[in-house]
Amino acid sequence: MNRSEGPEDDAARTAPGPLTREAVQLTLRHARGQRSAAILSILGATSFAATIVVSAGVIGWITDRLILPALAGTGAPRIGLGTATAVLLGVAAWRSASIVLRRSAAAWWQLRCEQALRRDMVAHQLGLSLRWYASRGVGDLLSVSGNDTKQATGLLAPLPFAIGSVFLLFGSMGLVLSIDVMLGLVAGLVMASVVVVDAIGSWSSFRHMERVQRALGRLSSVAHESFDGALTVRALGREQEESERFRAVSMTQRDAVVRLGRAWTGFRAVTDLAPALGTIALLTLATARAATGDVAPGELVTIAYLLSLLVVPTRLIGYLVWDAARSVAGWRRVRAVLDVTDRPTYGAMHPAADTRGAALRVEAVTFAYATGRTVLRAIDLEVAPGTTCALVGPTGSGKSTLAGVLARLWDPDAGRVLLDGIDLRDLAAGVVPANVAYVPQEPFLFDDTVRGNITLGDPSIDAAAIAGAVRTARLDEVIAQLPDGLDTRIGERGTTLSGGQQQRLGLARALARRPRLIVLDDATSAIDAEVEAEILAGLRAESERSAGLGATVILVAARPSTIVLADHVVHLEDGRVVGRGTHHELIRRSASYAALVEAYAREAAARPATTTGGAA
Amino acid sequence: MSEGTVAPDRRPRSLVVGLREAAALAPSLRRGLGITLLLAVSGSLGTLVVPLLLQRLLDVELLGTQGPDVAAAARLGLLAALIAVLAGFASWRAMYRLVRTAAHGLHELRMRVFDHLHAIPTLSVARERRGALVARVTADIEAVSQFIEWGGIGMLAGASQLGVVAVLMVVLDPVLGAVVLGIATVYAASLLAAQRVLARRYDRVRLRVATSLATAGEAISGLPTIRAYGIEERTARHVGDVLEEQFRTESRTRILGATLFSTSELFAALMTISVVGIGVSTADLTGVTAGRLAAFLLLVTLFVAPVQLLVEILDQAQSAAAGLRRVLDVLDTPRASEPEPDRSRSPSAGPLSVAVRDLTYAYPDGPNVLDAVSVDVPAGERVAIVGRTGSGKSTLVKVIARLQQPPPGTILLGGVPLEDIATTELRRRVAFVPQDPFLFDATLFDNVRYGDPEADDPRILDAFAALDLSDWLSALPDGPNTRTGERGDRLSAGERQLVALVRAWLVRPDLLILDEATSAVDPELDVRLRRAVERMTSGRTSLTVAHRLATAEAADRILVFADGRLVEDGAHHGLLAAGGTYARLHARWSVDATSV
Repeated sequence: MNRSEGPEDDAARTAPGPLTREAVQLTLRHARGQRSAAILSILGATSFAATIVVSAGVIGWITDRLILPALAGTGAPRIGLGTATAVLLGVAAWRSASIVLRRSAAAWWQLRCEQALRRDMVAHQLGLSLRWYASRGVGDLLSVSGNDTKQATGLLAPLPFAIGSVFLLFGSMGLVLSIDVMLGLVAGLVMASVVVVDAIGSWSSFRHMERVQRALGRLSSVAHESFDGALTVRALGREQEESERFRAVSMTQRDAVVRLGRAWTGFRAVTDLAPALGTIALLTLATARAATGDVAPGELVTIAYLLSLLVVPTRLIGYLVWDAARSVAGWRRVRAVLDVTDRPTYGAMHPAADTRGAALRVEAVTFAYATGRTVLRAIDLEVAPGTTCALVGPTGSGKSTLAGVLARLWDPDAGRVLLDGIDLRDLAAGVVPANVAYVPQEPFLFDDTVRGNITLGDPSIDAAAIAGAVRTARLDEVIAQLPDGLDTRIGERGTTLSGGQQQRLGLARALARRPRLIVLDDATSAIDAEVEAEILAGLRAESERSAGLGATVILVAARPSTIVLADHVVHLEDGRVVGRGTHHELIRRSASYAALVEAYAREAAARPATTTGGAA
Repeated sequence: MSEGTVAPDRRPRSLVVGLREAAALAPSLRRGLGITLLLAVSGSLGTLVVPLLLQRLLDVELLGTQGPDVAAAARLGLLAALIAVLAGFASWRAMYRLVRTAAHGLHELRMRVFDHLHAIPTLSVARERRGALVARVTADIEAVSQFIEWGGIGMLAGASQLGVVAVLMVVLDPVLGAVVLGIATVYAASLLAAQRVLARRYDRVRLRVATSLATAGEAISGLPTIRAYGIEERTARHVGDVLEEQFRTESRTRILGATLFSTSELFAALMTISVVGIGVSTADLTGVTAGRLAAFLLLVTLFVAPVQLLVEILDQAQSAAAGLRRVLDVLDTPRASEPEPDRSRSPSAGPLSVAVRDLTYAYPDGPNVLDAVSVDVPAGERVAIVGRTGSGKSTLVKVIARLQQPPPGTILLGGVPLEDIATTELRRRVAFVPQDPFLFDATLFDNVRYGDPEADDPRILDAFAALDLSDWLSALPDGPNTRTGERGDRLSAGERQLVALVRAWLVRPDLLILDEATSAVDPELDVRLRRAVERMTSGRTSLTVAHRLATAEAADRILVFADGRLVEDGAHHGLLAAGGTYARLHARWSVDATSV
């Protein structure tokens, strides 16, 4: 929660100056990519502004030449009704065309920028280190790429209109000036004051708006946490406390909304009122000028008409300030991610081709998470090609972390991992995934078909490879029950499959790539032991059939029935290797290993004597 | 995200119906609405000041028979300004009142939805849908809120302006007024038709947006897998394609919208032309003055502006309606029942007996998970429940803990029907430890205290010691003050289970239910914990769902489930000797547990 508050706090503290500069920079950045859309939308807006000035002039013109002569008897009409109709329709058509141009081009501009930003954002995140990723929180990152990219382009929607409105204000002032200098100056004053009040209002409301956004963020985290823990909340009967916890943040949000409302409705009332008062003043003044013959009645109508058309455009300038501030806030969060450079580096080396079963060597690997908990301490390990090595240890001993380091999900803080004698970090991009398959306990499944989840879009995985992997992972039994077989869609996160089925799919995904090193991180925990043994046996047979030596297998395991399938075992405790050897050797040699692995067997052996009093 | 997750299918509500229902649920929404409306209408009277002033100035001062009277004009101007200020004040109050009302009302509605969601039994089942549930109390309500704050104010001001201007037009000149209103009616009808077309297009846009958000979301959530399989580029391309689809659909729709919207200018011109044409050509009959005609021209612009605004916010109204509909659907979902306070009964003190009477249970729209299960567990007995995945054993204990709602009369605790026990009483007497316990983003001790808010540090330390976990506690970097992280993700799955056990220990329950509560800890620790739990449960009733049969061996009695039925019931040795399901499960387990 705290971590997401940082940038917004900065924004709230920042004076308007830097914010304006950032808004301009952001706009220019958006404009660079989409020059023609930007120019067209501003052209459309300017053209629209021109039609407003022109139509006010036309109304005055019609008043003087048609309406007044016809109705007030100030001489013969100098234009016919047909002319007036044609001119009015012409101006309306011009204005319609301007609106279509402005809105279409502005929409195009904004949507293109949003699309590009979101695409770049996802592409960028795809390249960042997993350690950074883990420290950031997935929900947070989703919000940056989903909401903040949209927000960062939000200022483009009102921008063209607002730019057009600035032209409009000058044009209007020019028109009034051409009627009468004094009236022109007053009109200019009125319009300037509206813009200024609007801008001030938007700036001061921005602060409140950020509070609202922050409150909404907190609201969302509390709700998320509370619903995620629903079973625990219910089991412990803590609904009331959860409700109170949520009420507190909901009330904060409510009060922030009310404060924001008080601020902006006040300013909006003033900016609504100012043009009306200005018009009244101008009309009264114009009447006095007309009395001396300096202003014609038609010009009076022009001024009134013009000012009635100006209300919306001037308000839009204020909205722009508002939207710009929001966009800058969103952009700052986007940029904070785009500026991250913590990405894995790749070398240019390739392992010697065509040997099955990779040789793996781990030298003095140390690893700590961002939270400061050291999980691996100077681990040394050597796994010969084609052999199976089990990583065994108590809860929290670092087995899973080590598995991740072997698949280069994380780079060690010190020490190195060698694949066929080459440091993983010196291998070219794509080499590790091509050679090493990592299968977690809960494989991440995409909202796609079974087939799509196996190939992950790789066209080089053909039907034969899929069939082989499916058979070895014993996924065929699962597929047989699915309505569309391999082409069944499995839903978001594969929720239509059970835990064991998901694990088999995760295994098939790995095997279809014919990896030279397979890292199974408790990847068969939800599969029955018999089936698991068959899968592991099949896995070796499959790779042996394909090329002499089988794949090298690393497995993190807790069940003795799994461990016993390994050629040798590495015993971990508190991030250190405390024993190596075959399972039976370790049982003989290490009391702690035997206690760990044989806990159930020993308990079972002890049980009849203690609980059933020798009933056996 | 899937919509209407917990709600039954029903015909969709319109925004108006939805708002009315919401107002019934959150009375604040309705409070003072009459005054707000009155203020809004008074506020829009202000827009009439300028056209009327123009008319007076033209007809009386400039074109009148006496010629211009500057002092009278100034007086008139001052009066107009005064009215404008008063009207401005009224509309400010109307806007502010609306914002305040909406904020208070929606807060109430949000609380109702939040409480309701916690009371729906299915919430604990539908894991994958929780993201959507969060949206119910945030994004969906926010859509309604934004609609009321922006669109609602616009609609309120616009609608009253529309009405007030229409009335003045008809009063000022019935013929011209009727013409303008006639054209407006035709325009309104064509707008509605256009809106229907647009609405369908926007549905497609929303679908595209949802797809691209989901695709980008997968790319981010699945990053470890994407990295492990080296499919970054392919994923980025896929996301790019989906975003391009979204762009194409969305930009086309927006351009169509812009085109439809621009026609309002032509209609406005048509009104102006009609006013000028009819006004000028029928002046002899109607006696319309130049000032009146000029005022009319202004009124036309004032009349068209709110219509244009209404078109703009129709889309917003639709998404608000959709959001509100989802919120109200949640409230339609039945909540878990709670006995009337005066009818609730408490089982007598001490260990609880459990009786299950012919219990058949199914999740909504699913097959029976439990099929005619009957069993009696006397007080103080320690029972293990075993069976393969999907046999119904976990559902049974959830039903007994009332985490799922059983049919009335099928469960009795201490002889009292489950539905007659007040929730607070039930939670005090029965502790349930799930397989995947949830930790809040707080310190370790605060998380433990979630089981009993009153527990002080020494008592919690005792609990750790009693469960043989003092070593583990002291090995943590900050001991009791270690932050557990979001969802407890700074601890391993096994460590989270330890915290949940300590929580349950603090409750000191009369019935302890463990649902594979130690599945993720290593075997040695599991055995140690189980010994501690045995000490803890001595003299109490306990139900333990176990996939490690070591637990079953130690129990007083074993219940074996298969396909939702209770198939075997007895002690370890008896069941082994019987050579049935349990014997088969046990044989497999023995292979698992012993390597030799």
